[in-house]
Amino acid sequence: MNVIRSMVLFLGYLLSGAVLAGMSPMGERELGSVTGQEGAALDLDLYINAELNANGNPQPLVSLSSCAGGTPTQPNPCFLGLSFNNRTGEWITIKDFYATLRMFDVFIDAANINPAATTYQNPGMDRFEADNSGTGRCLVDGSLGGCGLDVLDNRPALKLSFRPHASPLITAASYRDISWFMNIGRVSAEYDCAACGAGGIQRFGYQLDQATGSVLGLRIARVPAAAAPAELRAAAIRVDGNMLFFGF
Amino acid sequence: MLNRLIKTALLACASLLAASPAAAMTALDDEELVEHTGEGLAFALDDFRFLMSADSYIEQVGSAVPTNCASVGCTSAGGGGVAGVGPVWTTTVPYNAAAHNPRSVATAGNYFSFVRGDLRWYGLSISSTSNDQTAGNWDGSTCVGASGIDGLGCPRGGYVDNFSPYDNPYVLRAFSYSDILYDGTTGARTVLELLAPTDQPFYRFSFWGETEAGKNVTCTGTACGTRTLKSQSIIQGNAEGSVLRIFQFSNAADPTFGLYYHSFLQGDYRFTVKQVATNDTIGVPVAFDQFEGIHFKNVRAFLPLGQLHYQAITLDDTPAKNGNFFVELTLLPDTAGVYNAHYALNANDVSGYGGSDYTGTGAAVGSGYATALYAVRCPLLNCGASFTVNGVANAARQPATRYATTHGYVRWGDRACNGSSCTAGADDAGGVNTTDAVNDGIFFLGSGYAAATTTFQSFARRPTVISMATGSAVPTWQNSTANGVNRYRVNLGDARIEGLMLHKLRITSLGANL
Repeated sequence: MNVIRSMVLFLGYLLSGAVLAGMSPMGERELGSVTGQEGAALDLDLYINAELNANGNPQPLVSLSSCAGGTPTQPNPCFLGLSFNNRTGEWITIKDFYATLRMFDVFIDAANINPAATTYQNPGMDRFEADNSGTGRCLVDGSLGGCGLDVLDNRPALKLSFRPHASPLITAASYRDISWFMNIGRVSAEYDCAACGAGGIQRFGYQLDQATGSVLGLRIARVPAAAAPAELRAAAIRVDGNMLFFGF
Repeated sequence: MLNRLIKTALLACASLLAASPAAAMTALDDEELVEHTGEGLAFALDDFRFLMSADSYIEQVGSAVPTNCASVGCTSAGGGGVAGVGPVWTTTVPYNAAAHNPRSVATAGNYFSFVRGDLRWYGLSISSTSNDQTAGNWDGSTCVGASGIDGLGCPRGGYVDNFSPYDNPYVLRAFSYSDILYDGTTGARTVLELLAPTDQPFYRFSFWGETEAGKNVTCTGTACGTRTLKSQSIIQGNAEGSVLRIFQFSNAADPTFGLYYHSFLQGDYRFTVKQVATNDTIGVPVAFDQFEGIHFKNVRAFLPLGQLHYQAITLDDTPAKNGNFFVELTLLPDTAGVYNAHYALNANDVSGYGGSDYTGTGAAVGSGYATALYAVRCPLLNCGASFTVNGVANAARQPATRYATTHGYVRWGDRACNGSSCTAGADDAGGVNTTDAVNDGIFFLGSGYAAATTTFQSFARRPTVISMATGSAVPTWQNSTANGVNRYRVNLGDARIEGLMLHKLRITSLGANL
């Protein structure tokens, strides 16, 4: 253990004192070369019980029985359960559930709020106030007497957007921001069961498929491509504009 | 020993942070630190547009259910190994498609009702009300320039400026409201709420739909589309002022997840099924006629679902415990503290329907009946300062009353005020609609509207003279071109539903036990 302590101490000294004191502040030019300073761009890929096939189309995981079949007490595992307060042991169970959500070129940047009022300004700015009165404590800056527009002036915000489109005009190629597929095969209520599992063990309602039917089912998809008419295909979505996101 | 190790590591980190470059950083002062207090988050959307491609869709589906009931839940007759829980179909009475849902068996001559892919909504879009898109129609054809009635001809437009501006954004916040509890007393409860902007531009929400009705179950592939009905829905308006709240319901006997939604919708709506060039093939986007269809113009609707804190939308299972559940707007409690406030006019009035605010006749501004009537009618009707009661103008714009938050309405057309008590304001400027009017109310347009050619009979052809003198009962019929018989447009007028109050609403599913 003494060895570890020595190493930590050495690391601490290495990073502090002598070494850091020898560093010199970065100039504007050097700071300007820092990557990532102009915001971050990222792709988001979220798969739930699903994968992409060779054509890039979504499909339920084969290793999960393709999210189909099973028995009432040993169903396929593509389940999602919702349980609410005072509904102990009761679940709204989403079955045969699989989805892919892909977002391309999500830009995250900083922005300052423009101080000019719009024609749609919230009267009295009461949605930013503690008591909705128009004269109460302003939650944005903590002042009394209500919120004015000035409390938002130059306020920092997070700006989210997708890679800008070259033109506002709609083209077939412009649905490139979000690719979304979702399948909810069935929905019903299910219940915790003390001895429903193999060997008489307990199973939760979100692991069971005792209901014989379904309340509803939903799918978000796209008409299959001509080249692969039997495959599922994700919906293609275009999103324009900026979302400013700020807290108070 | 472990503590010493941690202390050593912390010392190392401290020395790292205390080094000279760190000292050059600017410290946040207290004023900056207190600026974010954590009450809420705001979302502002600028130049916003959301477009699903015209062949992307949301559809209703169903999956095959397990038919193997050999496991624990199915072993006892009548419904399973768990008391009152198991499925109806057992090993002795297994699920049998032919017996339990004979229409679903794949035999020639059988027709599905609704099955997978029968109901689809394609190309959900939120865009501006402009008509400037060279590929504005679903099939990619151009939709530019004046189109339809007030822009209701084009399904997709440009960006929505100030969809939710930064000075009136969507706000998600935790908030504490003191109001009436389920037991009739007053108390504070914390809610999480999402507030829509209180003022928004009109934007266009559109989609096209596909319904396969009565499809032959043996038919496969796109050729089955001969029973396909395609339609287009366009809404131009907004949902400003709507509020969504979630909280723990104040009913002590059922403190479950509660939901509250007050829906405000306003704008115009058109529904059409007339295609420019008919194509019934499943999944193929088509262009729709720019005028044909039923129009609802100048619609305002308010639907209050839930009240703080005595009524909420909740979920619960059915007594049979067979997989079904219900969504319920809970029953208004039979408690004086609740219903006397629920039916009262003014915010602080607890005297109920028979209270002084209802029976009073005081004409003085700012008191009694005049104020109450004004307050009920005007905040949501845009009466302006010209509203009068008993001849007395009431200039003060009142805050929303209790009545105005417990009773909803649906108004098709802009005639907001009736009788002499309402002088002309922004909302009744349209007056009574003519039978040809296409700027207000509920009206139908035929596909011959653009060319002004008659395409449909708007009224039954009525007999004008029935003479028995000739010994014949054959009547003289109204001229086929008179009085709007053969037409290309007809306006049915305005309509209103007021006092829309939901005492209780329950929707119970049955499908989980078929």
